[in-house]
Amino acid sequence: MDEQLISKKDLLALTAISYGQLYRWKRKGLIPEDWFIKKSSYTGQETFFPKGRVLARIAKIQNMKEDVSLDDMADVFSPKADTQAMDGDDMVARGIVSAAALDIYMKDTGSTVPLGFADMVHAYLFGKMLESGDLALPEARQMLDVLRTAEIKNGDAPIALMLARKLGVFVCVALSPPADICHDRDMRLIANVSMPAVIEELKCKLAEGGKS
Amino acid sequence: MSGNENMELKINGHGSAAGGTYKQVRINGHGKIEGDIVCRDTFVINGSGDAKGAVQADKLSINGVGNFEGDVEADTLKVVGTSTFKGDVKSDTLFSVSGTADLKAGLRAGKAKVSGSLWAAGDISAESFESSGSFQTKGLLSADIIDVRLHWSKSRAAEIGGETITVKSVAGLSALRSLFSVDTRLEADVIEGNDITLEHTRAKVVRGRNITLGTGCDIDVVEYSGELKRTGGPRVGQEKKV
Repeated sequence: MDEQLISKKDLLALTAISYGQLYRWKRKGLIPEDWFIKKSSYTGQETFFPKGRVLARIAKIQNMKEDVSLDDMADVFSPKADTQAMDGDDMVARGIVSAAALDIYMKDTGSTVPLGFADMVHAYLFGKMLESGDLALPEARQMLDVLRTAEIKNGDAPIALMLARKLGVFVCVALSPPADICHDRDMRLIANVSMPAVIEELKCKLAEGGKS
Repeated sequence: MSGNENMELKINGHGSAAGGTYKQVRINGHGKIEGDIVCRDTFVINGSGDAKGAVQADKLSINGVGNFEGDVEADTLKVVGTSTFKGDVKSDTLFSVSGTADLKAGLRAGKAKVSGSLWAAGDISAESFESSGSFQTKGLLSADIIDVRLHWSKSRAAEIGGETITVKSVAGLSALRSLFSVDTRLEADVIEGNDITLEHTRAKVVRGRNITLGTGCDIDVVEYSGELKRTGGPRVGQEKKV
């Protein structure tokens, strides 16, 4: 994947943050270590960042900064599971999942409320895929099956899901990123789902909901 | 796991223990701990101690020789003697070295205070970092406040980053130092911060808002967005207002 890079200097100028802030956010884990890309230049070494991701992250940090401490924010951006559990009604009220999708999810899995974090992630993704219209119900179920199997196999390692259709037949593959995939031309990619990104989205929603 | 969280583990003379959870651990003499150990209160080494596993303690004091093979986590960690750490070291409130600490990985601390020597192969990160001794890291030294007083020895970091960075040489010693030709300075490839004040510093690049360069500085490139001041004739290869 070729992602556009931005130099540290340009990043600071563009976002109006200081060196002190950038280093503090790095220390707290708000900006992941592997986004600091070192490249040699005429002045020795310069640091670059994946432009899209770092700008989005900084915007989020600046939005949250007034209400959330840096340490709590670090939890939001960490792909680690939360200990939080939540009632179904709460999840619906906070707009994490629609009542209809949650209802199907609960019946399918036989889960009981309150839902643990893993269930919250699954229900969130399930609802999101159904509501966007990208997946039909049996396909979304199949996706969750693949995801659960991959989670057992991968443990804490990050997971990405590749969702595709070929001649109308749905295919779901779990990957350990970074992975390059080569697929045949007739395959139509529906979505690449990065689970750490899904978890981050969910945690952001939870943190925002916690404010009100 | 053996031990009881209300008990004290004491090794006097020569001995070894398996590990476990204790209230206090004291090694007076020569002690070895074979497994992971959790100490709710104080862990003291007077003499020499070897920990083969991970160590967690509220207060960890090394007054003789310490050798830690696993990760070490404490609220306050004091090295008065000599200590080697093979794993990551985390000290939530205070990490202080008045002896010698040799870290094969990195350090994370609330406040880090060096009056002896600190060597780290990995990054040093703290809320505040104070040195009146000598330090070296092959990685990044990062803290909100970095305050370095140069006395007799050389310090080095690949990168230094923070909010306020101050490097000063201790006055009155310069004549003596030149007499003994001691090379007292701080070396870094890159120094970046909001407000930077430097003396006796050799760096390839210094970037920041307000920068003051003093005596004994040798900087290839300076980039600043606010103000650049010079005192005492520093060497500056190239300066750029950004």
